[in-house]
Amino acid sequence: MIKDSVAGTLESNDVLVEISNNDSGRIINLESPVKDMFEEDILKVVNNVLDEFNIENITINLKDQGALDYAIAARVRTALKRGLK
Amino acid sequence: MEMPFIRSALFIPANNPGMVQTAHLLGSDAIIFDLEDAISLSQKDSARELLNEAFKFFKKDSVVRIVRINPLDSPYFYDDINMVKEFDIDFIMLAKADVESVIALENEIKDTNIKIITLIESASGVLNLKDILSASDLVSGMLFGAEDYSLDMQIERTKQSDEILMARQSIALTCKALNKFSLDTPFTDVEDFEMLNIDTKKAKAYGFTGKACINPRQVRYVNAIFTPTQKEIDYAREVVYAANKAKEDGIGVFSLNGKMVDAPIINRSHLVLENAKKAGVINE
Repeated sequence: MIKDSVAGTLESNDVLVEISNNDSGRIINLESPVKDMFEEDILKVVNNVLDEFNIENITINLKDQGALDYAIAARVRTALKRGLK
Repeated sequence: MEMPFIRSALFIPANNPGMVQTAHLLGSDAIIFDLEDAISLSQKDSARELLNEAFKFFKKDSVVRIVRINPLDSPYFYDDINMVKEFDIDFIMLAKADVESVIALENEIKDTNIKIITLIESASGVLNLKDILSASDLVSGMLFGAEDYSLDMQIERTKQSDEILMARQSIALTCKALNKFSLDTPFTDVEDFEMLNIDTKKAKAYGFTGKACINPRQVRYVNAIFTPTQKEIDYAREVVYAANKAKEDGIGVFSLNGKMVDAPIINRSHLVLENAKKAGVINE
């Protein structure tokens, strides 16, 4: 069971990640100025981290401000670790 | 132990992606990714994760990587070390370093290639510097933190820095005697470049090998002062040329332009040329 948690910021080059528990698989909601071009890449980064944590049921809301892959992965990992504490 | 070439070391908050990913482009010889004072207590975990991912994502280049961790008496010391020791970095900077914390850090990182920079920021730190620097072979150098030192001494910090003169000279002397590099305290007024120049020239004159910066705009001033001047380079070349000739002729001490030249001056000239080469101002 994952607790609601948050990581990241709304500053440029960052992403705000909010996670909450659900029973309906992975629901990933993305807001991003580069969504049209990079949605697939961003979701891949998020799913890779979720795979690493073996998490199948979760809702993740991402408010992206142009974060690179490493920053997205870091913020998702932080949110998950906080949620799993 | 070979000294790293660090004229300037720029502090960067470790939880800011925009700054972390561009830090290596700002011209400093080293970056200090800060997990301590620049990071609020609630964001320590987030900053560690960001650095972890950043160092996997960005390959290491010629800029020296330093991570400042929280002190031993904080709840974050071991959490920091457990993650940071896996990073592709050159140094861990230990806040509020003393003999006990240096040994504790050494025990955790002795199987890595990471070396230690001690942050000296108290009266006892300055007084016990020789013991702190000698507490582990992993200690390569130190940074003087004059703001906390002044707080500990209950003295007013001024731009002229007369109040830290003895501490600075004592630190530079101890580091030189133990063959450790010494980074001077940052100049905290990021708008006053005239005083930054004066302060940096003082640090160089005392024997510091470099200086910390807290703003990217300070870097070029600090680099310029810690780079050998053309006059120093020209003289060093003359000395080395004359020394080589004297050696061929079997002469130990010789005179150059009316002044006696002996081993310390020759050694210093080699160092000037070596630093000029590392700074990219000469090729050979």
